[in-house]
Amino acid sequence: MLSIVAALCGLMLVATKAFTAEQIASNHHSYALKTIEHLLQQEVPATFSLTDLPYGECDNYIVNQISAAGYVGEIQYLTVWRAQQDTLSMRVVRHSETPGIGDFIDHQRSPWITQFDFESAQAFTTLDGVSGATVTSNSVRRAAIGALKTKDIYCG
Amino acid sequence: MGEPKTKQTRTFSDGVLKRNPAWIQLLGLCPLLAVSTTVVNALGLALASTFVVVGSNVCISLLRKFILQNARLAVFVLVIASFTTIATLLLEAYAFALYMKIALFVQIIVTNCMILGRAESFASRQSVGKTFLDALGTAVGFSIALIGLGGIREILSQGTLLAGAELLFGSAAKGWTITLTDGGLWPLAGFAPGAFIVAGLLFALVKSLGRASTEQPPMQLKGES
Repeated sequence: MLSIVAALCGLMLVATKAFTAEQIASNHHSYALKTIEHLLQQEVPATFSLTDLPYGECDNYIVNQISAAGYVGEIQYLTVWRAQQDTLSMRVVRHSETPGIGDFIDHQRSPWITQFDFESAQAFTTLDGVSGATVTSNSVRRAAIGALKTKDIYCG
Repeated sequence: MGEPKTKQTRTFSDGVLKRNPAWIQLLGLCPLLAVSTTVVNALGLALASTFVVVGSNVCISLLRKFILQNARLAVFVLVIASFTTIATLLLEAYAFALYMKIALFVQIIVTNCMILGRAESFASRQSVGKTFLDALGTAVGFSIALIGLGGIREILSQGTLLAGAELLFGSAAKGWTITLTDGGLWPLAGFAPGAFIVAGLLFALVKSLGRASTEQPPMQLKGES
């Protein structure tokens, strides 16, 4: 009996997923593009795709996408490293952290992550944990370290 | 459904007023307090909750003859979780900006004891038609509470109504925002402590109005989870 209900529910979910998957993917894609454009303060070329990341020039800026485990699943970050000032700006584009506790990393809820925009890239790597959200803030730190490492590899 | 019409409307209106899940039974307070920062957020959650309550309760009522007593909770939770996931996916696909704001609260509709409560005490025992009315009444009651609280909090904290309507209704709704005062009179209303204060005052008001109009002994409260 339980398995029949489970099968029915599963079927319902698969159908909805198949029906909405394309729209959802395109929504997330355009949100990520908008976030990149906002961070760069300039438009990205129309042919730009998230699979092109990392993107940019080593003497100007590097845009990258990185994900690190949070408290509830993966957290997806977009990062922009600027060569002249050696700063790293980060934005969270996808997360499921606990509302009111771990969701301060989302720039739409709290300006917390924007305070590091014009600090040196090292500010992230020596980031203090936020009390009550240790796992979440560790994820931000790991993502920053990861972004700097990929940048170093990319730029040789 | 060979019952007189009055009884049917009663099933519906009881859910809205006498058994209002938020005001009288004090169920589902977590999403109620968390998402009622603006009318549009509240409306988004109200629509999602309505979809889940009606869909899952009708489904459970359809299956009620086949559900084993021992496995009933598992079945209820499974059905409710499926409908919640569907609501989340639909919101993610067709109201993405709103999804980014309230998604986490839509996902926890599944733990809203209001829905499980109706499934256990009504849908698993009654016919599909009656369950539909009951679920709709409960959903409307919850929506009224949610949107009412959202409206009061938005006016107090921002001085506007329907700010950000384009998140839910598309870009045509950009001009719907009504500005009442310049800035908020009481910004605290936009935060969690303000939610508790406003909701508490609202519950007290509803309770005293209810007592004055019906002169019935107060309803017994059901436990909040």
